[in-house]
Amino acid sequence: MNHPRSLNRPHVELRDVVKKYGPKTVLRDLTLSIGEGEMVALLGPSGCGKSTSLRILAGLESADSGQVLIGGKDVSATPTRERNMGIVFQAYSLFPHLTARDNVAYGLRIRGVKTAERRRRAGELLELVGLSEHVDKYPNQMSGGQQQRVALARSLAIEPDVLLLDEPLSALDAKVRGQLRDEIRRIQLSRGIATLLVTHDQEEAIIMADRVGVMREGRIGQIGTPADLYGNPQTPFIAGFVGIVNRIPGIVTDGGIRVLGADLEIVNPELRVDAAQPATALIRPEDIDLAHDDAARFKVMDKQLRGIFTAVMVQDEVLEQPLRIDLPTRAADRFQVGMGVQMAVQRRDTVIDHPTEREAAEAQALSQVETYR
Amino acid sequence: MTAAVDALTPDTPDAPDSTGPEPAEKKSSRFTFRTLTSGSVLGALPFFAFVAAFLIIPIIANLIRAFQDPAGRFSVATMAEAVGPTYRQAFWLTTQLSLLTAVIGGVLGVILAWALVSADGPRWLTSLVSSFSALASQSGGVQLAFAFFAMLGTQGMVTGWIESIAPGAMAEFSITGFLGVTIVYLYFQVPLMAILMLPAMGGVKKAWYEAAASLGASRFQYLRDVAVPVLWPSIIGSLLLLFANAFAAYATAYALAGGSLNLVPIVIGFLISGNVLLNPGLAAALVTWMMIIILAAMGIRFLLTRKSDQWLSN
Amino acid sequence: MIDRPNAPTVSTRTSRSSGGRGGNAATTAIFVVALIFFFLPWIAAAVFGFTRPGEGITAAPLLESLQNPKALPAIRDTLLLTLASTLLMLALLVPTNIFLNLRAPQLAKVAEMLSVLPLVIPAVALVSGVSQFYRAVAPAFINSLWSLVPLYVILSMPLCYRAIDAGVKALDLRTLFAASSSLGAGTWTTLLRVVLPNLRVAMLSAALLSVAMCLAEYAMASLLLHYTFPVFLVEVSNNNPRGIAALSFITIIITWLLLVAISAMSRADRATDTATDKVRKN
Repeated sequence: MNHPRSLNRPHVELRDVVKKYGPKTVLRDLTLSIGEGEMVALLGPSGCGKSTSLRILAGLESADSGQVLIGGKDVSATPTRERNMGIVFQAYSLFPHLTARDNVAYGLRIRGVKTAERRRRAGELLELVGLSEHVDKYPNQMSGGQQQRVALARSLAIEPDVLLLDEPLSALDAKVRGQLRDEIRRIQLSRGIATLLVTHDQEEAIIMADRVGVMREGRIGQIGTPADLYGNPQTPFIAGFVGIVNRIPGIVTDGGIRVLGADLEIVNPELRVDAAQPATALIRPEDIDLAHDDAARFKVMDKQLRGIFTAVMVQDEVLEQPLRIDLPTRAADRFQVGMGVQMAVQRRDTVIDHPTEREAAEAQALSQVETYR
Repeated sequence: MTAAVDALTPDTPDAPDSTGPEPAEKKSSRFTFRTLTSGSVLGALPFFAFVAAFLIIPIIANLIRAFQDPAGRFSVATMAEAVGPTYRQAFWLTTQLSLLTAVIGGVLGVILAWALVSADGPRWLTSLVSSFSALASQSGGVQLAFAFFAMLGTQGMVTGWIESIAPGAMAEFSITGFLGVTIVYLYFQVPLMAILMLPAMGGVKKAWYEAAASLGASRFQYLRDVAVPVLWPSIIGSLLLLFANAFAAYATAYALAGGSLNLVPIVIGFLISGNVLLNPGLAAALVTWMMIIILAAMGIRFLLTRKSDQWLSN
Repeated sequence: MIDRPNAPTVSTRTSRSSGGRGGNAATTAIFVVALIFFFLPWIAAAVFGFTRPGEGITAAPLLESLQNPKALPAIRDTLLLTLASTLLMLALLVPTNIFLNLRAPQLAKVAEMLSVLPLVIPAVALVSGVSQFYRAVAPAFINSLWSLVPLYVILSMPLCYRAIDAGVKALDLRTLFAASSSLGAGTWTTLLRVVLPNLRVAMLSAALLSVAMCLAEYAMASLLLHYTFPVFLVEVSNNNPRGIAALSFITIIITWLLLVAISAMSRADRATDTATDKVRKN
């Protein structure tokens, strides 16, 4: 349900933000824009700087250089409390001594809204997040998922220009995470609030956001729609982070890389591997097709039913790791364990990575065999 | 710091706050008293017997004596005498001293606790201050009194400094008077307050301030609406403990003022050791009243902190 | 005398947010002031105790106080009491705590509440009660100096129990015992070889607390008419204030040195822990 938004003018921007903590540079020239009504996710491993970016946007930290713009205005010097942003933290951000309703009403209270009115609006918001029966409960009487709903309602109460979600689901268990994910997205879309989502969970980013930026060591490696990122990763890190890849050794040729009997273009030639040298191609399980061939080297080792698709694990003596091929379950039914299979890569290009020692040896071995076949 | 001087000394690691998985359900010990075997009772016996012999029984003996008249029959006369006109002044003075040192110690202690919790500087400094706070909070004793004689007594070091800057300023002051004893008590009351407030102040989550700021609150509004409401039970509770601590102190007061300060513990001491008059029954009654006051303070403290402890844990 | 909170652990939030920036100068200033006030009385004690007007720095007051015929017996008695009380405290609390945590957790709760009781019962109160009861029942006991030993254990119990309890609770006793017995060790072996070494720091901390208390305990000793070091100090303080100041200074130095030694040991312990963790991870 990700509609790409046409961005006439970004609503929120971080421009060339640099942030250092002592000798360590946490953000390097970070540039990011979020359009009105758009949800952008910053995805990356811990320490990559995604939370710092959010905090700088919120005004909880200040950048060493660079600008923060909201609606075109530079707000770098504006304190948090004047930025009118809703923030949902990872956990424990509710005021423990206030009920859910009073928590949600707090922002309104600061703005001078009269008691009856703000209690009413708080009640509405709590109903929006499905907690109308819990309005008078205290945070320690609620589950983690419920607390995060209250936190969301509270952040929406002030009708913010921007919504900042700092790993809002990371502290919750899987089932709750799924439900809350959809609800947050639904509410965000219906209200049309520009939103920044920070997470280390790629599934969450892909499912919820309009655009996803993968961060690593203070920089955004690639930003694009989930489909872009998933289908056209530009670096081995991104390919492996946003989804599953098979690492398949091959030999670089003049035009690209030869792997599994196919010639593929190289997406990231800046990696600079010389021709006739081994390299590892990163190919997704669903980008390989199988055909039954008793004379083939690769044999089916295992099948894992995953619902509408099945992961078929395929092994060859030369390769240390089995390869995973995802097929629709009905198609996978044709293959039995022990069967020989021929593999066909369904793409024209691939991301490559430097091979490990083992993979280099495997690449050589595989290429030898192909020649004599 | 040492893992187990934890009883006093807080460990101050730079742990990020409030990032963690869903708070686990508290492991409820599913042992009921039914699972007690004779073996387990036996193993605990030495300890319980010891405590019974040297704590419980003496207390009970004291209680019994307090409600007896000199002939040994049940009577509330001794208890009445203990709060009669002769001794009321002692209670009043002790209460004043305890209140004063509790309140001043409380304010300064909270400031110190705040500093310990929010310090961003070198770790060794924070650690040093917190360990010495722990030790200082324990220092109520005769040696402390003598150290203060050396510092603020008539020939004291600091007395000399003050005299050289402002001659005559120290003429009225005596370390053995009410004010002097207050100052000495503060030496252990302030760090004690700091130590007591550390868990509570450490439990104040940074996310609360940040959330409040995002909702438009100024620092003052945050303090007024979140920090103080959450912390005040702990503050009052700790003040009560400081009060009880000061009320019960004997050694420091005696070493400083001998008999000249009319404090309840001192009076009890005289009555027990027969310094002026030997009257163990009255001593027992005074002790009982003192314990009632202390127990009341602790009781209120317990009720106050039960709820706020919940807010501040996690 | 005083109540103590549960072993407080504090996470100093690295407050790099705008709230904490100005705080740094303020907190450092507060620390400096605090440290000055913590140390100043003792510096004064040292200055007062080791100088004499007209003579400059001298150990004469100290020596004179020690030459008092009552001095050395008092010191000896206090040291003996300290040793005995600390050992008794350890011998009573450590096995009990291990046992309770392992076998009878509900009793452990009761024990914990009992251990806090002495905080509510000031020393003078305990003296009053002990005096009442034991003078009637066993006067010889109460007249002996050694009667102070169990009483000192009671007085130090709240803090020491907490310290040991914290150490024991930090160990996963059940797992330790299970693992140890699966390797063939009996209960006693496990206790001596496995559990106790891990409790080293907790035991030492409890010992430190006990020692600090015994060296300074005045109320019970004086009111039960025994002559210990603190009693000596008070008695002589009028005649030889400087000597007494010197002795007080020495007492606190001993306590500080013990504290430093134990924290060094605890840091060493933790270094080995992280080292073994690293080895395990690889």
